[in-house]
Amino acid sequence: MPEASASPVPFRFALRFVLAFALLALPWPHWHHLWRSAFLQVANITLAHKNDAREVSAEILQPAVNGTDFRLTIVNRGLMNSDGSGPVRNLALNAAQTEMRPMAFLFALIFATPMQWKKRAGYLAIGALLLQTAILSILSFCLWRESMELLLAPDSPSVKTAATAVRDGLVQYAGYVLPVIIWLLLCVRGWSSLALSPPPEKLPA
Amino acid sequence: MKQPDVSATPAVKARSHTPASGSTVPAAMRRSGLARWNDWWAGSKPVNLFIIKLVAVVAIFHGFTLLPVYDWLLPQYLHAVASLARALSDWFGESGEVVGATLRAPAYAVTVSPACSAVELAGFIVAAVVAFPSPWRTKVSGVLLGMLLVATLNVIRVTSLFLVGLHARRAFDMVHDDVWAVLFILIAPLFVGGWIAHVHQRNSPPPVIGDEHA
Repeated sequence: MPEASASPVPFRFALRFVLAFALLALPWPHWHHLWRSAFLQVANITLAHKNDAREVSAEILQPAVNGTDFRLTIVNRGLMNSDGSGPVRNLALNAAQTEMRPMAFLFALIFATPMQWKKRAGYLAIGALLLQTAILSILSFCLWRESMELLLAPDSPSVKTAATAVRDGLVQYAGYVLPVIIWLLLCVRGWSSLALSPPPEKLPA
Repeated sequence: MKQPDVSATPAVKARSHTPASGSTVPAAMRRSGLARWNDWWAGSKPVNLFIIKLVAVVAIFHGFTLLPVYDWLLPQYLHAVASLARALSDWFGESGEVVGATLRAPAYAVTVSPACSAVELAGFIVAAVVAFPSPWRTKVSGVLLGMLLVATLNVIRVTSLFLVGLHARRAFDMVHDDVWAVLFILIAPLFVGGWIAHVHQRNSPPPVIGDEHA
């Protein structure tokens, strides 16, 4: 990995990061829809399923309702009435907030990091895979938490309280923390030792 | 600072000569795996420690938001944000009144909800500043500066949303969901990066000038 320039956090890095993130995250025509559709495909492949009693489905909400444009629905078919009514739990999401911006954040960080293009392309692919896995894991955890309300997962007040606290923490901070962690793990080794190691001892006069 | 290229170490090269179908892992390969792990850890130790501390501080910060005292503090903070936004919108010629966390005018009203408190942004900044190795006094100033930045941005955000709601209501969702969300994500790493650069530069040894003439 190339060495950093004289400045620990180069101006060029900040400029590239701002430009890349703005380009990827601003609401260009059809851009949000493209991400929503891709997210729906991924959610259908990985999260949606029908087991004996548990059924999870994903759908895009058009038009968006109170800022949420994506919904994961979980039902316990064992609790459904013959007319199709019964308890249902929804995870109402904003696809941009859940999927698009964290990805754009990670891509912009990797794009701004000085390295060879071949390496950068590899890190973009690995980073996207890691971040997607992390996002899906968090959504799986949220679904598991909602399963408790439908008697699909064993629950107790203490487990429910702890699961709610963890879920809220993951949902609130993942968008900021996950891309940074993945970027640090992938890209920041030699480059980072300049900025992220403790300051060197001052030399004797 | 140059880091060793792990993929070029002899230990890793030896790995390619081990039989792929072997049922037991040779001791040399186990050692090489350990050596590789040690190399990776030694090379990335500052970053790894930073990540661990970052996650721990975010968890502690989130734990604080679950306390009853936070339930008392948050409405006060939201009311303060709405009041400051009212003062700022007055400055722009739009008067309104504040009730709780709602800034309202006859034609439009915005409510600063807990989800719009930017607490997660503050949590991220606080965690990154605390996790970075620096003296405690510097950390405290970084945390205070970061929180002040978040609070100031939030006041500007609420004011702008109020004004957009009054004058260009159709643009409200775009400004609320896209423009400000993008700005907040941009500002967090830029502040942290700038703070880290500042701390590092301040604590670095001064360049030796005229050494060859000594």
